[in-house]
Amino acid sequence: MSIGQVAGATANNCQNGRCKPPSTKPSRAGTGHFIMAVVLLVLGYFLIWPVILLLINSFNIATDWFVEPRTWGIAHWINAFEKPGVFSSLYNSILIWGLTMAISFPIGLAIAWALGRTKVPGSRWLEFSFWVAYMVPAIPTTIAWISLLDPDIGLINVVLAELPFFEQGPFNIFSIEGIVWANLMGHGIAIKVMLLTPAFRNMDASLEEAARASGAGNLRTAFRVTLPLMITPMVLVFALQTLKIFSSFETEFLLGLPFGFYVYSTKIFMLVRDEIPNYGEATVLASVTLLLILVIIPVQRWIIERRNYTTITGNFKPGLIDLGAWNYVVFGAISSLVVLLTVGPLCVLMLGSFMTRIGYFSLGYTLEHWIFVLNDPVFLKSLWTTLIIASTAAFGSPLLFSVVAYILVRTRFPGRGILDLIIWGSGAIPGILSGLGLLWVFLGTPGLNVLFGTIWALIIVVLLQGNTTGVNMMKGAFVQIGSDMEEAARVAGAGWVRTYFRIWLPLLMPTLVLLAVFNFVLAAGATANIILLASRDTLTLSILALELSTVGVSNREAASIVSIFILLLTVVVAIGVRACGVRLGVRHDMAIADAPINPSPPRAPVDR
Amino acid sequence: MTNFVQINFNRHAKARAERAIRGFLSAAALTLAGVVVLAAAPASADFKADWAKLIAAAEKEGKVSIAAGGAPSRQYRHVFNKFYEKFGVSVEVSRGGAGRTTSRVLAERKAKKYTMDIALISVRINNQRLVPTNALIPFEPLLIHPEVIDKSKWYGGKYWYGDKYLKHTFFYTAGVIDKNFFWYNTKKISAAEISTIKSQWDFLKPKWKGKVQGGAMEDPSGIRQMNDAWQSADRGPDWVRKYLTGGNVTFSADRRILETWLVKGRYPIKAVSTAEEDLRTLAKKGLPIKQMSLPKKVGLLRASGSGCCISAFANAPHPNAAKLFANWFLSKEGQTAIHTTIPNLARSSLRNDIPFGHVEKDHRRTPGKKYSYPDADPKSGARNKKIQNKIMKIWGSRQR
Repeated sequence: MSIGQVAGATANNCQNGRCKPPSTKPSRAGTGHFIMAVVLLVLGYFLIWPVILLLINSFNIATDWFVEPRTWGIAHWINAFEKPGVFSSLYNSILIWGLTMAISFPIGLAIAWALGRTKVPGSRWLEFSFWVAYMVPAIPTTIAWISLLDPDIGLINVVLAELPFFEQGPFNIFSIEGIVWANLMGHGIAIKVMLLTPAFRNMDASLEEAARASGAGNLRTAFRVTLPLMITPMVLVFALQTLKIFSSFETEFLLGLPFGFYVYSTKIFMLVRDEIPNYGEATVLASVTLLLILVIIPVQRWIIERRNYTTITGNFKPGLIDLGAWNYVVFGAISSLVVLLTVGPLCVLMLGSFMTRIGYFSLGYTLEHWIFVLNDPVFLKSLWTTLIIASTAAFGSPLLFSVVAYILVRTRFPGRGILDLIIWGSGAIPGILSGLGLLWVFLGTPGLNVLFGTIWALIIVVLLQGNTTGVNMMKGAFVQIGSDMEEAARVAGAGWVRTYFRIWLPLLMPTLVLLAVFNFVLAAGATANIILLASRDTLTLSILALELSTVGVSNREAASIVSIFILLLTVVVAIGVRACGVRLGVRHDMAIADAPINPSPPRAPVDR
Repeated sequence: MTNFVQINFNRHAKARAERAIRGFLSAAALTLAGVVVLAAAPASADFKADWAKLIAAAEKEGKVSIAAGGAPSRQYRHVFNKFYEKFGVSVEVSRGGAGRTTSRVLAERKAKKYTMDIALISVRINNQRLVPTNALIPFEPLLIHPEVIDKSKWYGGKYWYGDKYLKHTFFYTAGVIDKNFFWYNTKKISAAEISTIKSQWDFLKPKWKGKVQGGAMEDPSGIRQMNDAWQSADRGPDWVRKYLTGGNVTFSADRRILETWLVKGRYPIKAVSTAEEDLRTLAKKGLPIKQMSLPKKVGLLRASGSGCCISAFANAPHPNAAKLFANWFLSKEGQTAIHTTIPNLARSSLRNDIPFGHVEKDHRRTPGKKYSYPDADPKSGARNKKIQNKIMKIWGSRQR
């Protein structure tokens, strides 16, 4: 058996190299239609209707939508693209995205493989450290790197400038290279490791075992077996990151502006951030992302449907690759990266909260900011609101997304294409704009308008936010898992609900845990899409932090303290959720002794 | 004959009319005197009763909701605490950007949801967004406190408004602008070098290329400064065009970044002074920055940012708390709280009867001196909007 054939060994419904998506027996047609109609209506209303409202209003040529009467025309569509520098900013966005992806994707993939498929010591904790890195907001990370790599005052530059072979500090964070570096150190690598590692953990060891039996080494097995089987999650992660090409802006904004470097998202942000925001032109610019979706969806479908990528079946065999002495080398390399990703920003956050003014060591330290924040009555309210909405998102969203993904991958309900379009489409518009669409939806819908200003409105939004990533990651997990176990359960008399909870959820647990943490982080850090819906009674910590650091208020020290609380909250919850998930999910350490590719004696599960 | 009769008739009529007028005037004078005598004594008693009623009603409502811009949300915490301590009515303040807060409030109002009572927002937003949408009510009818309604206690013996109807946007502070201030880093630029700068045009000379920083137009303060420059006799449109597009100035919309650039010396000159309170604090703490001034042809009063004015929303959810707040805020106690709790204040209350407190000397009004006050011109809103559009066009053209 060749290695290439090994990858297709589990195919059970493929002919001539093409596979149909595995599917369960559909429910009665009527039920299927009804379920699909409800799902499309609910998700469409909350996810796509706000986008449609924005697009419709982009033809309202009033400069200030809230003041001037509606006048229809195409002026925004002409003016937006006639703005000087729009096309160069588009190019800049692609450049930054391309460079960041070219570096972060292979590194993220390699780390995810090492953590998910090899016996690197402490891999679970290392993986968790990437979650922590992801939890640190982008702004503190960027500020930390400015403090280190500013050409004039950056700590590293100052130290290097003292050395005999440097005339001045060699690094400049205010450059294209600097932006790429800050992106990598921010979420660039962490998000890929976060999203890909569970997929690697779901690998069936027997596939690699077969490759090894055919004489392939670890590297060859990884390239010829493991990676091809990982195409689904890789394509998804790639597509999801592509979607962010025109929406991430914090790092580019902080580092690009000083040297006159604008990216597309900066242009959109500036239009909306003005005292009299120009939502019309901002929507027009943001709608370019919708074009990307028209490319992403078919490509992603083509890749996923042309082969079978099942890695978990009823014959699933756990097991990990032993790299021998290299385990420790890899451990050292990943640990160093983790330190770089987490320690710097965390130290800056902590230190900054005690500084009289961030960045000015000569002004000394103070507890004044802590007293200010802890005495603010809004702070405790915000903490409580954040806890409620983030916990709801952590528990509710993964379940919801798993059902939607199940419908997309495992059923033949009509309208799946539209559902997929809704999921991708909702991720196309930046939160800063979709927040306005949601405001209109809540204010303009009888019944929903009573929820405006209450915590329920926020809960609905945070439950659904992150759906593009969530549903697609779940889709990837479903594609990896064979249908034989579900079929066996159904034959044994289990209903759909029982099968779902007894078969699917345990198999999906690593991805569910990941999504729980992901959604908690997302909900705890949500700002743009809920800021117009929150009242003073339902303010969240993230909105509080944003308000404290806005131009007018500019209290970054207090904002740092609020960010620390968000971070603490997320880390505590992440540890809890992870602990539960690890016990419930698929474990590779259960039968290590049985795996021929692992000659070492079994280890206690607690080691991992 | 006819003429005689007419004249005769006119004489009689005139005499009757004179008697009637005399009688009416006497009666009126007596009535007026009576009213004055009757009203003068119980006025304070009436006020006390009304004030007590107002406090009780406000306490019942429990809070006052304020849509605030940057300065009030950043600086007024102690002022609001004093109000809460005195009346037990809490003050809920929006703390984000004024633009977003206003968008939200306007969207709510379109959907007939009324969540805000008072606006402490810039005159620009008042004029361009709140007044045109009829979101505000006339402000003067809210005022009942004797200290507030006594106009002689206010600058110029009158109330000052910023909207074209002269009734919605009530100015309570203004900064004295009779110099053009700028800042520089004393470690990066010597006193001798800086002394070569004689006018604001000098910043645009090639010598200073790459050394000057400025507030971007996305920062409300940036656009306000350029608007001032456009209308200033010292600078004008050409200066603005050159400043924004000449390549000498590096801009940021983030005031903390601008501050770091100045203090650390990356861009060691801030040609147009903004966010002065923070910079003065840093200078006093010993950081190497210094404020300088250039002569200004015409001195004036300027309504600066969101700390300039107060207005009241129509359909306020807490009308009594709003009325109580407005009266207390504009009273001696409220205005003194602003002067005494905010360090290095770059504007001062339009009340004449309170101490200057922390108001910087440069921004204190000279008693008896009359200043030009263009923001209080009812046509200023429309004029500023036109200029702002022109500035934004110039600004847009530089973003490559």
